[in-house]
Amino acid sequence: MGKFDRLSRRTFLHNSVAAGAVGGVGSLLATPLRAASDLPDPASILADISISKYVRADYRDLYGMSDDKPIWDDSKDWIRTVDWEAVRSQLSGTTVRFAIGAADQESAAEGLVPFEALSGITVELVPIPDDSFYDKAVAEFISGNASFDALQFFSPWLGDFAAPGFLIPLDDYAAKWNLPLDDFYDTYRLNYGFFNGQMFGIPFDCDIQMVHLRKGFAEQILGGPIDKWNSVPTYDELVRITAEMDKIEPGVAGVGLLGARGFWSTYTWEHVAAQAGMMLFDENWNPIFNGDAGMKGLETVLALSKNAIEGFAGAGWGENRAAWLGGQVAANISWQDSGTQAMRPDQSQIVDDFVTIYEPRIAGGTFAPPNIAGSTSCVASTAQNPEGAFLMLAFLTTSSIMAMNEANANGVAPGYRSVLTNPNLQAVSQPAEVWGKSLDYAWCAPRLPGMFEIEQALGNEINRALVGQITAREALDNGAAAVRAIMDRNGFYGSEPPVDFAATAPGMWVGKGRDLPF
Amino acid sequence: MRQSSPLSTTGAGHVAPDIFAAGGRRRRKWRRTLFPYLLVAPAVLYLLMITLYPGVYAIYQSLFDVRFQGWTWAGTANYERLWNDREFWAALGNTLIIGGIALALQCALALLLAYHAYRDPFVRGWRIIFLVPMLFMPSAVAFIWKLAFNDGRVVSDLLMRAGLVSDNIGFLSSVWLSRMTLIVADVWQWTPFLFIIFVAALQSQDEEVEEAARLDGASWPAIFWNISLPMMRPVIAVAVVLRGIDISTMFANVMIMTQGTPGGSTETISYFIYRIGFKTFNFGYASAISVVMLIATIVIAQVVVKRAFRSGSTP
Repeated sequence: MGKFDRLSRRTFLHNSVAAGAVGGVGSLLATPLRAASDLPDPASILADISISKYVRADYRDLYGMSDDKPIWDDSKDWIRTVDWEAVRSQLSGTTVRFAIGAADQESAAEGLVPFEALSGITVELVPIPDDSFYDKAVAEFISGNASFDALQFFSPWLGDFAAPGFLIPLDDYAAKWNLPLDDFYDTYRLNYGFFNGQMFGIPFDCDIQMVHLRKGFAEQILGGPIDKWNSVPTYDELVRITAEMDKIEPGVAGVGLLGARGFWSTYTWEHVAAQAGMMLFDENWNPIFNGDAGMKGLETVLALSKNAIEGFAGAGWGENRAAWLGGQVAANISWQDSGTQAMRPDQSQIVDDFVTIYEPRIAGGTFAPPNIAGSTSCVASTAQNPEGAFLMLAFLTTSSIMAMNEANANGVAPGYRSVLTNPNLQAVSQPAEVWGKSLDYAWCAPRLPGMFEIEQALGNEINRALVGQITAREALDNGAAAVRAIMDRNGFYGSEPPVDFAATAPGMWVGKGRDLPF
Repeated sequence: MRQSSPLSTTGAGHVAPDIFAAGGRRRRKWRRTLFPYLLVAPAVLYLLMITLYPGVYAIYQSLFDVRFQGWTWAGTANYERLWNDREFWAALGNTLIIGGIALALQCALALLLAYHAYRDPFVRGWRIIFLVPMLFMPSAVAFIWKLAFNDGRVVSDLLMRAGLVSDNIGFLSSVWLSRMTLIVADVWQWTPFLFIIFVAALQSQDEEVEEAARLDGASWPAIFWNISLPMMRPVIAVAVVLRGIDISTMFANVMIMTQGTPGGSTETISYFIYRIGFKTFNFGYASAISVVMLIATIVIAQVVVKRAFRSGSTP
């Protein structure tokens, strides 16, 4: 969930600096790279993009990480498979402009030094204020001032950016440069990469929402060690134990929930309702989430909210993360990085006292761990150097760098099967095993034009239900009416809907037809 | 002897120069009249550019459904939608409640402080202290109070240590508590603004009137209540209008502290306009709301000031 984590994102980029600094290209900083013949040997640069040079020393010491115990597969690491000489011969001397959160500008400039050395492409950064990236980026496109080639944003907005033509399709580039799309879990590839059957993005920060428990409290209530699949098999059981845990220690609430207005409330409800079998739309794009499954989900969230930390109704990711890592909640419903960062002593006060469990089930529902939102990286339709931009994004999202992001617990998460199933990676990322096994069953909202507005409208109604202003039924019915109006404005009920349901459906629940993992 | 010309005898020789002189005077008068306008013209043009143009543009835009690059004529549809929009009325109500309470508290506190600062030599000497909150950036103030009420649990902790509550208070889960956090932040920062104005008004009043009242045996509170306060009425009205306009556009505190939580009960009209405009990119509708609010603010301000000056002139 690094999108909202300035510190973590900054940390990521700071760590990228290490890769850059040790890439043997420090002396090149002062001299713009122009001629391919002036560039250093790619092999030497790649050799230094390694655990020993990239991962924080304290984390390496803590978990015994070393280059001898790789956390990625070299054969699937794009930067080690691409022909850099071909890249250089074609694009050396060109420039890529990359829209990035303003706080990360300086660090990113250094973190991309290895890419500049490998490719001969110069990267210029276009800083956009972090807190309002969506607003500002869309405004830049609308006003015709978008002067950048590449950008990263929250993946649910892919339809908002792709449908109006702000992005260019990447299929041809992906084929030309052999991007290892097959190594991405389907849920990330389909939902962070594709819109309406075309590839527009390379998955960047690949998140999933999970349930985390404080081990000590949970074992006290459950009377023994926690089994990640069986100890909390259902949401009813989660409601029960969070009620118990709420009473154990003053200052520690039963559960942390993201219940703030807007998309935070939407995500929490989607997370739970997906387990009840909720789908947002039927094949004609009519909202159907206010049916029984959606209601069951919201009623479950309301039941959990009785055991939730004070202020949950205003909690977004930042507040929730602080409460979890600060030890103020005994359970947490949030992104997977709550389970990675909780391992790191410099980030967490609950090291060794937590566990990330498999998604609890709901009777009559489905096992559908929610891939709610992460980040994707795209090339702008206004790009002057689209191919260079694509290559830069491919570099940033390559499996070795993403694996080392996870090892650094900086909130930027890998979506590669070869990484999450790697035992060495699982040893330094507590949720990785459960997370990886869950991804083959993941639920995801379709990426549609208007989705940002939909999430806001729906979340505002759910938030009203959370604070008791309206009932669950009213919230979902109001939400359905608002969503229908938004969909109508976006042309979904005309003769030619902007998104083909059949093209989008496979990504909505990749677990369809699969047996349960246990 | 020099003979006068026939023209001279008729006086025509003198008339012609008089005509020219009159023309010159008229030109000079015209220039004198025009000159100040020329001096202020750049400033006026600049102001029109940054106020009138966006205003007119907003009115124009409010007649369209604006979605990304596409403008579709909507006529009065945006205004009609507004009447039936629950969120608009809720935001308006929140603005009136939060703003009204904050403004009333600020007036009362500022008058109280002004009364003491004006009379009390000790307080008078330290009155600069009262101005400190106003010197903070609004966003910094919002973060401070957010930390105190919510993220840092400072207020909860203090109350728990004082034995007044047994558990942390969910300021963002309660409609009235969350509104209170916004009111407290606004009152803390902006009471000094009214305080300065009120102190200045008190100091500019004729001391002889007070002296006469004192000779008649009136106490200071009685003098303040019966003499000073009525004389201050126009000043209070202007100050209240200025602050009222400012409060009606309350944004930073809402954006940083609550974002409208819980359930939209702290969403002010400015935040609502921002949300519609910059989160849903429905600029036409956002413009319509802005136009309505602009008109409402002008009308209310005009009425308040007019009434206050009318009553203030005949205390």
